[in-house]
Order: sequence, then structure tokens, then C-alpha cells
Amino acid sequence: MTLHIVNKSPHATNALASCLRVIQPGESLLFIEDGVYAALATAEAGAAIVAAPDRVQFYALQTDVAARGLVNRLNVAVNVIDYAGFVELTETHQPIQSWY
Amino acid sequence: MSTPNKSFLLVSRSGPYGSAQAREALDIALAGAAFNQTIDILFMDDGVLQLLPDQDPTGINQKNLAKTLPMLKLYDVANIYAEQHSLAVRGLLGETLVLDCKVIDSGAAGRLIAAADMVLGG
Repeated sequence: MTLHIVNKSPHATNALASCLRVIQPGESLLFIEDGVYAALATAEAGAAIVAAPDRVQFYALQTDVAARGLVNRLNVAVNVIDYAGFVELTETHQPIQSWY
Repeated sequence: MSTPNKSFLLVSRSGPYGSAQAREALDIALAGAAFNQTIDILFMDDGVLQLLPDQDPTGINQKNLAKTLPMLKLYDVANIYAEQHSLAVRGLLGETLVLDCKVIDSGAAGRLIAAADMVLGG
């Protein structure tokens, strides 16, 4: 099962849009660096998450979330994970596709 | 110097930590202001994300940009603008931001750019 990693703001590049166009049911999507802005609880970002295929799991890296002041602003569908969780995702998924 | 000051407008369009652009834009503003230049700032696109409170970049080993932004006031950078559309699409309209900004619509942002002697993009 593929792990997708997005590290760019959804407003700055089409990395997230491209990822969401091809992501398959049940796969995982991890937001890191400026990618975490996609996890904001806004109408626009929420619509992208709702429109994703079934059972796609969303994750955001805690340090990047905290750095950007988003701790209390995230979409509830997004699981916040630490570096250990990041490592675990890389262990349990194969292949890993980075979108940047 | 006898030449009259030009008016500068800095357009800051990047988020605080994904690249050095936001930090460098702020450095330009502070340096310019230190030399008594008139510098206005317009935050738009991901630039408005610099204004979010509660930033804590210790975990990514970066300096807290939101802590430096208020220095603009100390340096007499009086005209700080944020584009309404950029705030709205990021869910930040009406939020308390780290800087007191004049929220302006896109037309006003365009006129601000048109009225400046010199525009520094980013």
C-alpha cells in the first residue's frame, strides 16, 4: 500500500492536487513541511479531503503543525503524528511517493 | 541626501518556514526602515500564513518569524496590509493576527502596487 508524502502548500504548487488525482482507496497521505497547510480546517481544504477516495488515511507531522501555529486549526480527519509515527508509516507502506 | 525618498512596497507571498523568502522579505523591510526609507508591506497568498499566532518552530530548528514581525512597528513601518482574499481562502478572516494589518480587497492591493515607486516582489 502506497504512502504519499506532500511537502508543499496546496496554494503554492499543484503537488497536492496531483496526488489527490491519483491516490487510491485505502492509501495513506502524510503532510509534512508546508504540506501541513492542506490540513487546515477550511472549507476549501476540507472539500479536497472529503473528495478523496474511500479509506484514504490522512496524517500531518506534529513538529511542522506546531511550527506553523496550526495545532488547534486542523481538519478532524487528519491524524497528527510525531517522528516515530512517521517512521512507522514508512515501515508499513511500500512504495513511498513524495510529491514536491 | 537631497534626493527625495522613494516609496517602497514589499509584497510578501510565502509561508514562514518552507523557504527563506519570508524571512528575507522581513529582513529587507527592517533594513530599509533602519535607513529611514518608507516601506509598506502587503501580505498576500501564503504570505498571510506568517501572521498566524501560536507558531512554535523549535521542533524544526528555526527562529520564530511571528516573534520578529512585530519589530516592524518599532521600526516605524506603519502601513501593513493583508489581502482579504488570501485570508479568506485560508480561513483567517477575522482571526487575531500577530500584526495589526489593514485588510484590503484585491482591487485595493492592485492600486497599492500601482501607486508605489518601487515594488519588491517575493
